[in-house]
Amino acid sequence: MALSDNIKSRKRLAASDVVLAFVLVSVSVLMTALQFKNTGNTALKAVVKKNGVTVQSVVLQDREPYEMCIDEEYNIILYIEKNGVTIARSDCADKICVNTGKITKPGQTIVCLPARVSVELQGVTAVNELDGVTR
Amino acid sequence: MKKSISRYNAAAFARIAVLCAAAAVLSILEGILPDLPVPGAKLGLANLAVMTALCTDGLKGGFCTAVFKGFFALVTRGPAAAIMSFSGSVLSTLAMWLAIKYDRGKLGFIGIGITGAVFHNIGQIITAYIIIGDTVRYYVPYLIIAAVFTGAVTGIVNSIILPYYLKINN
Repeated sequence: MALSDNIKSRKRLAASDVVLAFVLVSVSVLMTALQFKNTGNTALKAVVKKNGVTVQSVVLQDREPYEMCIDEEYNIILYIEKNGVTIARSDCADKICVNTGKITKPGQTIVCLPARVSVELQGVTAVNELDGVTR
Repeated sequence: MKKSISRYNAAAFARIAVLCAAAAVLSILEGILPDLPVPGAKLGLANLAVMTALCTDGLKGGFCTAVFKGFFALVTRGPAAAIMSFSGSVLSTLAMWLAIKYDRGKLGFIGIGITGAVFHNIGQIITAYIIIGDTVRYYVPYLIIAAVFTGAVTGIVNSIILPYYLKINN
């Protein structure tokens, strides 16, 4: 029973646990900071992917909110406003995509796993969307 | 340590059965909590049962509980959730086993719990990456921070209940 002897002698909280937790939290905070670094004065674009392949891309414009069907299979309705998008309905079982709510910042994503659909917000320069994808 | 092989098997069988039941209850409990942004991903409270099984019965015990947890997810939450649960708990079991075996006793129970929870979430992220694509990368930091907390909680609980399970051993 070498394994259980190895376990019995352990403390609840060892010094290396604190180091481990600190390193993990620091790395995560750093990753988040890097993700949201380049979010200056850009317009937003919602990129819809199915099975990892881009199927649609909508630039968010200053107009009345509207709805759009982005997946026939699961009847997923995307609600598009000028400052963000929401999945308004989906026929999937878990409804995690609907419960994610509204996303408003570049890099944020709504995912529907059963439908294998994801909606990602990307930043685009307001003047020319084709040349200015900054992510 | 004098006991017949059959008696040992019966004790191990009973222990793992109890821990599988605990994993099922914890899975249900976890289902009541709010969802994580990555579909099918779970905090990993049920990982507590896997961790305890790993500590009492080694890699075999850990894997038995992990497989049961995956099966339970299949029955209650469907195939997508089952794949997520399975990939998470198998990777987490392996990581905790390696940590216990090769850390030269440096980690405490909380550290083992955090290791398990982080790899549980990494396993789920890898699966989500394969199914959905690279959009899931934005959730990695959030899931790691969440894992530090759930890992600490499961580690503390494990350190409290484990002595009782080890007593059943003999």
